[in-house]
Amino acid sequence: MDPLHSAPKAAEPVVVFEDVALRHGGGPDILHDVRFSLAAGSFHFLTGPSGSGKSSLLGLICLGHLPSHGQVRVLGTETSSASRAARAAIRRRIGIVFQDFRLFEHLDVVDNVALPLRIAGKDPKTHRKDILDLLGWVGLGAHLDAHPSALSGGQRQRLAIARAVVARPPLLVADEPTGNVEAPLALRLLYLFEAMHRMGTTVLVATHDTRLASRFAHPVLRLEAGRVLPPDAAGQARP
Amino acid sequence: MIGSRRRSMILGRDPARGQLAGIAAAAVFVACVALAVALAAADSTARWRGALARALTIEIAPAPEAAAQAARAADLLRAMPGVAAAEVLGPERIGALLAPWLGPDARLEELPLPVLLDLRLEPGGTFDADAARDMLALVAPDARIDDHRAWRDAIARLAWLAVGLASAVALAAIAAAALAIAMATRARLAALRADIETLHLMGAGDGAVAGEFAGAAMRSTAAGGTLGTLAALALVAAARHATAVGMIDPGALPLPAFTAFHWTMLILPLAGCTLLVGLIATWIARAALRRLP
Ligand SMILES: Nc1ncnc2c1ncn2[C@@H]1O[C@H](COP(=O)(O)OP(=O)(O)OP(=O)(O)O)[C@@H](O)[C@H]1O
Ligand SMILES: [Mg+2]
Repeated sequence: MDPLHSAPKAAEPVVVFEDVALRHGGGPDILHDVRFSLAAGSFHFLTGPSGSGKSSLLGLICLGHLPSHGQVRVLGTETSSASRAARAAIRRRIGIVFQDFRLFEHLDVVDNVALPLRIAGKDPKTHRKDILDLLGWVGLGAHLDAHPSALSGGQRQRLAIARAVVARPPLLVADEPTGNVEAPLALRLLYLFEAMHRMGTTVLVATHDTRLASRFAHPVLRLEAGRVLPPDAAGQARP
Repeated sequence: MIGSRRRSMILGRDPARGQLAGIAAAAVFVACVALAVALAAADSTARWRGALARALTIEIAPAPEAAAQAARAADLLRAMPGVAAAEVLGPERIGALLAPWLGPDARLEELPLPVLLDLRLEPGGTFDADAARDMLALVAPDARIDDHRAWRDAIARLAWLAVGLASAVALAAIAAAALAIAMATRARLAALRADIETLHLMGAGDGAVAGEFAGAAMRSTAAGGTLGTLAALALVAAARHATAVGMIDPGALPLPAFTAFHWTMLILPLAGCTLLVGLIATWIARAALRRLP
């Protein structure tokens, strides 16, 4: 366990799953009997084979789905019973790196990164220096005016990451954030999450790359047969 | 709307915005011209009816003593309250009025022409028609009073018909445009589904996303509608000019003096169409957003 995980924060965990099940439409349960929590300021990996439900579980945290059974609490609010406005307010406090990026083709790199600030009602102009610093950090300083379609897969990935962290959300959720980049860059991007984590952000990174996860001393949640195995068991399961 | 208006549009430009603007331009043009016609019809018939209400014609059948009777009646009528003028139209005047129909060679003196007494009343006056009738019965027993009531009623019916038809045309044009734009808006929503869902997941409120979406449709509508309005105003101005310089008979195309009120009314189709499109687009977007958790 890293020291920050047990940091003296009496606060409620940032994410709590209680007996959660999820199905899409009328299909079978993708997830069931899921219980776990993410303490404030913690850093977890979420691993599992393709199709095991990692994206679905992140969707529950980001309020992209509501559980078909059980309770999901995010940032102190139970998602199913919250009003639409309250859900939107929670979403604004979560930074998401989507597996498929979901960048806005009509916006250039700077405007894409500025979008979370606009949604939060802030004027991106007053944050321009932060945005440029961040883009420099992820190696997009030379592509400020480019549109996503003109970027490589790895560049788009970095843009998606920059957009997720720009508003300094208290909870950061990343779905395969290193899926499109080589190992050295993957490590560098994870260090960006690490830096966010040091500043107090709660981080959850879904990845099928267990080797990359094993290079960090962070607990690993493992998805298997629709259930989340506790971190310790996952740690032992690792080769 | 998300963020200040000066920032680039999040959802991008609608590739069909030109067609959208075209539909709005055509519909607003039609509605605007129809509205101008309705206003003109309402206005000029109101003026005609006002003028007719302030005029009476008294007809005294052809007879040797007709002219003398008319002169006496005119004197007595002039003395009555509410009468602005009473003028006897003798056979010469009537002949002059009839000449265009009968031709210059007609021998008018051989025609049994009645004597007409043209009575003009003061606007809002206190003319007592019954007293006038009693007086006339004594002075000119054969006189017939025509207060133009049948004319006034016919004109009123015609006016309402014109106003009703023109308003129906205006409403139909706007409704057709709004429906066409609603269809285009649905197609646009389908194309933007993923982006709208992403905005939703990033925490944008329903109102903000719907506003972002509806704003684009309203901008296209307003742009096209402004063109349509300007074209209609140009047409009305041209017609007024043609009437003023005598190219068009003012009787055939009665255009009232357009006041600030009239010009303001002509902005209604543009405002109505834009507002309607905004409401429809917002409603469609909100319905789609409600399907997201
Ligand atoms: N919207 C949906 N409707 C129906 N089924 C879905 C939907 N999204 C995901 N699924 C199903 O849920 C299961 C889990 O999918 P999910 O995307 O969560 O897996 P994953 O672990 O993220 O996979 P990967 O590593 O390939 O990204 C899959 O069987 C998938 O077919
Ligand atoms: Mg996935």
